[in-house]
Amino acid sequence: MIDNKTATSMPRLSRATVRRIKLTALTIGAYTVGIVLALPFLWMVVGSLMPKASDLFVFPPKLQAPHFVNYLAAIDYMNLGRLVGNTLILVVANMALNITASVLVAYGFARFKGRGRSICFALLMSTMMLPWVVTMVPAYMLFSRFNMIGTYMPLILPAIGGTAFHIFMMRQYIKGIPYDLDEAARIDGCNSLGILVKIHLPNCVPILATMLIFSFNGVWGDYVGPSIYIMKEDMYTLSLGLQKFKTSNYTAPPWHELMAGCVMFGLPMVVIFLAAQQAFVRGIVTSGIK
Amino acid sequence: MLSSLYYSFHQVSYISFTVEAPVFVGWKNFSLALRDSLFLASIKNTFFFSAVKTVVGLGISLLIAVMLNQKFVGNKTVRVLVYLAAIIPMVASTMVWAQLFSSDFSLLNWILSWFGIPPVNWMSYKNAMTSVLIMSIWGSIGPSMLIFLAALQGVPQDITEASMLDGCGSIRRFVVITLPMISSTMLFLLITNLIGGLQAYAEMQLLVGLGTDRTLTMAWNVVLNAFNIDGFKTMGYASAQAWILFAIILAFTGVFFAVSKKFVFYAGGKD
Repeated sequence: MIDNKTATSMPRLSRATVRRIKLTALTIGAYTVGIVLALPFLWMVVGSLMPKASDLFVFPPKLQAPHFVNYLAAIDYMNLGRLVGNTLILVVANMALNITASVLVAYGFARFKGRGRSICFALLMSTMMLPWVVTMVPAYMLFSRFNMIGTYMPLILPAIGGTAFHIFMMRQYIKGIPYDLDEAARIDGCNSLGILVKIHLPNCVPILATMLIFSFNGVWGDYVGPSIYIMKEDMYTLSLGLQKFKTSNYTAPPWHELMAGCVMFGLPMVVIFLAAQQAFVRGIVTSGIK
Repeated sequence: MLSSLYYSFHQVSYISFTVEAPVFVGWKNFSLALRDSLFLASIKNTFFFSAVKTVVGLGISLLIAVMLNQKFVGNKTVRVLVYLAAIIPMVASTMVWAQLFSSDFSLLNWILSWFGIPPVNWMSYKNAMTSVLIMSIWGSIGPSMLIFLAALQGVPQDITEASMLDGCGSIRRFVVITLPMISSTMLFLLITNLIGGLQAYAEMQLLVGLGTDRTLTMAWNVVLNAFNIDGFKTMGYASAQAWILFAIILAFTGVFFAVSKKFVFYAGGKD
């Protein structure tokens, strides 16, 4: 795993100075890269505190007292409370369904032998390769048959099946739990579901955290799904609401307030990332090691 | 049992796909697509976007990962700084970039002016694709970098040390030892990035707004055709296009896996 012991090299040899210079250059270089890449992000925060939209176009930027009123204006204009409420409905429903389903399916794939299990698993994994545009049209038609266009159902129901990526991650994890634990529990009179709930889940907390974070982020920031299925403005999610805020008629977009909206939109994700970095990194890394 | 539910769900959606198009038109939709100049332009754009994004994005990610694999003070802070780009939701990040790219004198043009570069009109017909590329490469670096970093940390120390004793320079060591050791990760990232790039839609639509024959991608075209004013009349046409896209992606992945068998090294033997 990623080890972050910052061990500065000890000046011991005659080559120590050379090494030190190299290290300093590396550090400076890395910081430069980091800051350059974070620049749009920093600009978003700085811009959100400017008193006027036009201040974002004055260079060099004038240092001014932070203007927190922008946030209130953005909240007011976008009706942020409703947007957050709508988005949270989707987030909570998706997380609950998706994680329950993914855990159950992963448990099945990890612990129960049945005919065609590996074929089923391969099929499931291959759905990860399926482009969303291919399923979009038939899914839309299906939902329109059930008169579900314009409701949250098309954005919630697909979670019942779980997500291939989550199932994969969870299965790998359960497979790593020794069988002895299962057997001990079974002898103590535990049934299969009991084993999952009482034995496996407590062992899976790190991976569950990863799944929670990823399904939260996926739904919270989703734009394509809501933009296809949601029409009524009072059902808008954050993505749609913010986009609407930008494209509504202005002679010039209120950039400072837009940036404030962006900061608020991104804030939960940044907090989650900083608070649960380990779980976050694990999710990304397991997707890369196959 | 639940997984079967999952499959049935998928299958249902496919059945509806054929049932809902009651008029059988044969290959008409497909032949129509292949004569549609906008569709052909969108294929070109998509390939260009996907290839440039993958190559440049992965190149930068690998470079940063190699840097962060060294030990220095503040290594972790830089990692967070690099990753910040990938955390913000797409709508928010495109909005920030829309501001950076705006035709007025913006931060980006100001920084360019330090180096004596005259202001660029980022959103013009000619430049829009480049702007979208800059934005999506920026957004893709974080995760790729983390995956590369994990792979680099998985390279066994004893091999690198042995090569050092044999007098192997650091650049040669990277090419001869590190690169082959992380080749399976590289392949994975190449494929996922290419596939992701081929499906690009939201970032284009959000940043550029109107698709011209320089920016329209295949996925975007599919969405446009599926939900245009005629609505359902062109749904079939849209699905034909979607299937062409899918076929291309499948072919790509197949070719990649076939070619990679020759180049990729699996430390634990072939899986």
